[in-house]
Parts: sequence; C-alpha cells; structure tokens
Amino acid sequence: MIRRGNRHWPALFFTMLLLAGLAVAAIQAMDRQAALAQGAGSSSEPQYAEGEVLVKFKSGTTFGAAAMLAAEVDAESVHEFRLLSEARQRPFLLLRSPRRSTRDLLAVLRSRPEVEAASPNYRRRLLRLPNDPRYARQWGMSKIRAPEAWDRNVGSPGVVLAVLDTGVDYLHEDLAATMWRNPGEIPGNGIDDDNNGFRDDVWGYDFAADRFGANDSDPMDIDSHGTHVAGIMAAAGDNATGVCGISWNARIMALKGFRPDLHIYDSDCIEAIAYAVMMKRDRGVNVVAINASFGGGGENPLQKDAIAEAGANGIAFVCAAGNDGTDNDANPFYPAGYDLDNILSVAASDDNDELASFSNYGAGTVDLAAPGVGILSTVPAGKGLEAWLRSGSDLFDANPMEFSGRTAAAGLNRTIHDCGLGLSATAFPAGVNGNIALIERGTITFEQKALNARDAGAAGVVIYNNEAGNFTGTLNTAGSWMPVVSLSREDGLQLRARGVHAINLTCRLGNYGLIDGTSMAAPHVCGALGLLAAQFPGDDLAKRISRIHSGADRVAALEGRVRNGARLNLFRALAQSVLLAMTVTRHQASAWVIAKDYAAVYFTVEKDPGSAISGETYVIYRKSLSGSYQPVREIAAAEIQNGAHTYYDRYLERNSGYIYVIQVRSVQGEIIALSNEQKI
Amino acid sequence: MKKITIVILLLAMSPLLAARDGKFFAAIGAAALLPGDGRFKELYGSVQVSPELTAGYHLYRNFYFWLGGSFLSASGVIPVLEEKTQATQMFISLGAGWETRRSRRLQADLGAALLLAGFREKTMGATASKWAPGFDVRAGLRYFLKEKLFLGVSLGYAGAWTAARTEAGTIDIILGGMRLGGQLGLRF
Repeated sequence: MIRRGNRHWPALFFTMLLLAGLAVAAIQAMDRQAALAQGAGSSSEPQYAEGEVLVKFKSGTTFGAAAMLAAEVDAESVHEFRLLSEARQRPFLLLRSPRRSTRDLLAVLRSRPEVEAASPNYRRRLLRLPNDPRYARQWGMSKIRAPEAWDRNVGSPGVVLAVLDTGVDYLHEDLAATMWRNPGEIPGNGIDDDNNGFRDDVWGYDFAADRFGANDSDPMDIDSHGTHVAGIMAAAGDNATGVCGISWNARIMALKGFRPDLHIYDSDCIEAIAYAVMMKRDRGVNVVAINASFGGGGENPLQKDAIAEAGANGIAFVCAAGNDGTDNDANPFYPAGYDLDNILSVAASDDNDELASFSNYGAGTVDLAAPGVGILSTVPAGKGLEAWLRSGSDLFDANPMEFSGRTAAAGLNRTIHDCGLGLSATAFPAGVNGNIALIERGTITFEQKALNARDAGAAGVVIYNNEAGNFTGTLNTAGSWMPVVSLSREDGLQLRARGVHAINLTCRLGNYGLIDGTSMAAPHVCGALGLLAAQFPGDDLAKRISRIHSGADRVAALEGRVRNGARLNLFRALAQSVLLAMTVTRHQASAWVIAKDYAAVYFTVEKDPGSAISGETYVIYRKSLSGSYQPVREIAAAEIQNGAHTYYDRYLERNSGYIYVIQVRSVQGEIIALSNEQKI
Repeated sequence: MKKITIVILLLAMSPLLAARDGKFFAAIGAAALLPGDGRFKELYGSVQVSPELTAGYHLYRNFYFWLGGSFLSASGVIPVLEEKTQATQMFISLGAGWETRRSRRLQADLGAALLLAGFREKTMGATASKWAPGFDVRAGLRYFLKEKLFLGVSLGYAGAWTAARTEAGTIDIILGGMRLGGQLGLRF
C-alpha cells in the first residue's frame, strides 16, 4: 500500500502545479478584464493602451534607478520624454510590460517611494465633425453639443424613427441611405407580401392619399415639411453630401398623414400610429419614436388612446408645441397637450437660446425647447431655396428671405454697394443701380428695405445682421421680388470693408432649405431619442425620456416658459454621469379625523462608474399647477441608499395638483442633472 | 376647554363645600376607557386612561343628580410618514342616579346622564375640533371605608356620535366608549 501510494506522489504534485498555473493565468485574465472594464466605462473598448504606463519619478531619481525599477516590475522603458525630463530634472518615462496589465503596473508603481505619479496611457477620441458640406450652417447641432455626442454614437440602423407628416422624399440624396425599408415587402407588385394588411408598404405608407383620406402605398412628400423634418432627425451624416441628421445612422419610416389640402385628419393620424405600433409589436421593427410636427384643434380621446397605445409599446410621441406664440397651459394645444407619459412637447429656441417669437410655450405643458429657427435641412429636389455669395476667393453662406426671387443657376455677377440702413430710395448711392445693395438690418422692415432698393434700381439685396450671427427673414408677401438674402453681421462687415467690388450672388432652387418652426424643434428631440436608443438599447421608454430631461441645459431665458427652463443637450443626454428617474405617487395620510394628502417622491440614481461625482445634493422641487417651483427638500448624497431614496412630502392639499422635479447639484452648486417632471 | 370644564365643575361643587348634612358627595378617580371609534383605537391605542371628577346631590331618598367631568389625551404616529399626532376627548355629564345600601359599608348605584363630548386633534399642521351630545350610563359599587369616605368602582358607557367634514370627505366619529372606573369619594 505504501509503495503504491509513493508512486502517485509525482503525478499528484504535477497535477497541483498545473492547477495552480491555470488559476494564476485565470486570475491574471480576470484582472485584465477588470482593468479593461474599468478603463472602458460604458464602452467595450479600453480607453488606454493595455500594458503601458506613464511614469513621473520624484526629483533626485536617477535614470539608472528608474530603469532598475522598471526591470523590477517586469517592464521596460520604451520612451523617455526628454523635454519634460530635462525641464523638470527627473525621469519621465513610458513603461511597457508584455506580461503585466496596466492595472498591475499602476498598483505596484504607485506604491514605490521614487514614483511621484503613474497613469495609464489613455487614448483620446478624435473629435470629428461630419464632412457634410452644409454642416457648418446647422447651428443647432453645435448648440445641442451634437459633435461631442457623435464621438460616442452616431445612431444605429437598428433604430427606426417614424415621421408622421406630409411624407418623405425617400429618393433624396441625403435620405435615401437612411430610409427604413420594409424587408418583407416587394415594391410595386401590388401584393401584401408580408401579410401585414398593407400592400407595398416599402418605405412606410400613405394614410391620406386623397382628400377623403384613401390610402396608397407611396409616402412621397407632397410638400417639403416632412422631408425637412426627416433630415433633421436622420439625414445621412459624414457622407460628403448636404446636411447631417442628429441620429445619422438611424432609419426613417415615412408615415404620410397629410392630405392634399395639407392638413392631417385624426382618422389618418390614428391609422398611421397604429401602423407603427403594429410594425413594432407584431413585426419586430424597432420603432423608437414618432415625430408629430403638427397640431391644432381640440382634444380627441381616440387620438389620445392611439398615442397612449404607442407609449404602451415603448414608442415616444414627440410633438411640436405650436407656432402661435401662445401659452399652452392656458390654451391647450393638441396633440402636444395630451397628458401622456410618452409625449414630449417641444418648443423652438433660437441661436441665442431665446424662445422663438412664434413658439408656443407652457411651464406646465411644454417639456423642453430645441433649435427651431433658421434650421437647414433636406427638402424635396428643387423645392429648397439656397443662397451664397462669392467675393474673390471667399464664399459666404447666405439665407434667402422668404418670397425672395431667384438668380440664374450661375448667379448674378455685379458690384456690391454699401447702402447703410436703406431707409429710403434717395439715400442709396447712384452706383447701386443695376447692382447689388448691401444693407444693414434694423429700423424698417426687410420688405421696406427691399422696396427701397428696387426703387433705387438695385438688381439684388444683401441684408446683414445688426447683431452677431445670421438670421432668417421674410418679405411678408409673395410677388415678383428680386433676390434678397440675409448674411451674418461678421460677413456683412467684411464685405462692407472691401468697398465697392464685384461679387457673385447666387440664389437658386436646391435640395436643402431653411425653415423655422416648432416643427423643426421636435425632430431634434426625436433624433435624440434615436441616438439614445442606439447607445442604450436596454433602456425602456421612461428611462430614455429621463435621459433627455436629465441632460437638458437649464437656460435662463426659458425659465417659466417651458418645464425646468430646459433646452435639449444631446451630448449630456448621452453622456449624463448622473441619471435620475423619479416616480411620485399620491397618498392619503389619515390621522383620526384629520386627513391630508402626501406624496411619496421615489427616485433612483444611476451614476456613471467612471464619473468622479461625489458629495452632490439632490434638491426636490415642488410647485402647484399655477405656481412656481419651490425647493421642498435637500437630500445629501450620503442619504441615498442602494441608489434609491423615498421622500415623503407632507401636508398636501387634497384637491390641488402638484408638479415635482429633482435637480442634482454638484458641491460647487452647479446643476449637473435634472429628473423628469411628474404631476400628481 | 379644560379651564372651562374645571370652572364648571368647581361652580357645581361649590354648594357642597358649605353643606354638612350628608346629601352631597364628591369623588375623584380614573377610568380605563375602551374607545368606541375604530380609527381612534388604531392610531392612539385601544385602552386610554381618563381622569374624572364626579359630584352629586341627593334630592329625595335614594335619588340624586350628578355632574361629572373627564378627559383623555393620547398621542400617536401616522403610519409611513411617522408624523406625530395628538388627540384629546372631553366629557361633561349631567344626570340622575339611584343608590341603595346593601350593607353598612356597601352601596350599589345606577346613573344615567346627558353627555356633552368634545374632541380636538392636532397633526400635519392642522387642527380639528368639535362638540357633540350623547349619553352616559354607569353602574357601580361603593365601599365606605369610614362613615363619609368611600371607594367606588363603576362600569359604564359614555358615548357621543358626530361627523366631521374634512378634505377627504365626511368622517363619522364616535367619542368615548366603554369605561371601567375607580373613585375615592367623600360624602358630606
């Protein structure tokens, strides 16, 4: 027995050695994974060069000592930062180890007395902008920090955004690539191939083909509105063509709901919504949001039910707040005004972050603002008016005034003359006759300036802004106008400084156009939902909407005009390091005789593991339906247990409505996140 | 309200202080009150201690009229909110009684009275109060320790019904309830 046992010892020994080796390898692999995860944040790729560290040694450390230390930790010095080493009189080295993880190296090196600092060799993103030639004129994109958001995500073809509108020019050069295409349908064969009840619904469907709302399969745009909206949401980006959409890789589903009289009827609207819901629920098409840039008329419970049904299927319904310049709280505007969780009502803001003069508002009913003035986007071929000026080798972007006349395709080659404010025809210089008038904005209407220029014999008019940036304007009435365009103040002053000189003014029909309206603001938010769906596919609708609210910028000029005074911030919505989701429920607190209502304000906090946020404060605000927000409670970060907290807001009046919102403030008092609002 | 009750009781008892013919009696005691109102019990507890004062005057043979006053004060905590709440009930009874001696030291009596009951509740920044009429019936035994000094026990029911209109709707309220009391008294 003893002899037989002895024979097994070597085998047992080697087996244990093998197991120990495997365990060490497994632990090292896990360490590497953990290091990757830690460095990667929400992305699956590491954000630093694995196995490398940058080391700053303490003063007095010799290169020899540094090299010895490197060898000791199983690394070698692969680069010396000579300029820094010489300037700071100590070694600055890049160390690399083929066997040890960055995390390991950092742990060891940071514990050594001769090391002052050690850090991963982080890799940084290229801050790219899309190469779409008209991108520079899409001011709204930089306002909402889209370029930074695009560094993280540019949208996914697996995300579908529906445009319920006048149709979409699905052949447009900048939209054809991002149109959703029903994979189960063979175009033009007159057969309902996928058996979904709609024949030839390839790009979407036309729910309002004629004045009686008969259907057909072709959702081609009958105006330019739907195509413009679609372009804001998801025009192909970085394709060296035209403009760039917010979610430039998403797919656009065209739901044409407008009849030839350019009105949408609730019956068609309901059918279109039902189609989107059916395609998501029964066919697995990932419809994330429906954009509804229309409104007016009364409340319709059927339409509300249809929108609610979309919400029940995880589809957001993004509505334009309206262009009447009125208060939606006092005069409800539908469908934006339905009290449904999946509706986002959007007002329009301009490039100065002011509420657009035409935009409806409502501190209790309009969710947020987004760019909606002078928005450049796609329009059906030949329906957009575009303008520019060439002065020498310089090219200036111009905005055609509404009702402006056009030039020939080659433009108008004339001299340009400074005409001051253009207050009367007699004040124009004689040389402007047959040439182009350069006029400063202000004092009188654009129409009057253009009439004065015409009387002075001008062949074209360029009106430059009296404040920074460009603008859009109107000549008020259609007619046989000469070309009249607007220019930024900076460009106008440059032209003026050059004196009388030859320029080329071109104002011609194209595939892109500027339009104002809350119709243009809504698709910014709709596109943002698409981008969020691509970045966080596991989110439910409520969380997605929370991200929009959490990331929004608070803008002083919008306070009291839209909920939270918020304007869309695409980057922060995507990169929000603190995400709040709030639920408020109303209860009755009964003593014996006295009964008062109270609200259970429950909120969850999700912090980006990579964020360095700590010591923040959560401030719960409450307001009555007609009042303004008042803070009711400040909660320190330390009070938040397991990422959730409930605050009981006492003493509420039984028959009064209240609205709640939570702000997260940093130690410095800066607002770093905002919750959704909730009404009880 | 407490002050008014005490003044009324003192006024009612003032003739007794002057009397010396054994027709008057006065007693001080406490009762364990089992509240009749379910919601009150739930919040404040199912047994409350209520101090009481009683005084009476024999009109004819075994019959007497009597005046009694008592109150209870309780505090509780509203569930979930953990908000403190405080309630007071006050009782003033005016009625008649009948007594009979069962032995030299033991005496039994029965009493019935009209009751004026009130409540006051204070919580969540609000106060509610109201008075309501009711009745008070009791039966008891008195044991005379000395000629004029007695110990008494009594069992009875003192109740009043009312309703309060609150923001949450109308709430039915029962004031008082079953009571089991003990007294130390003096006959003049």
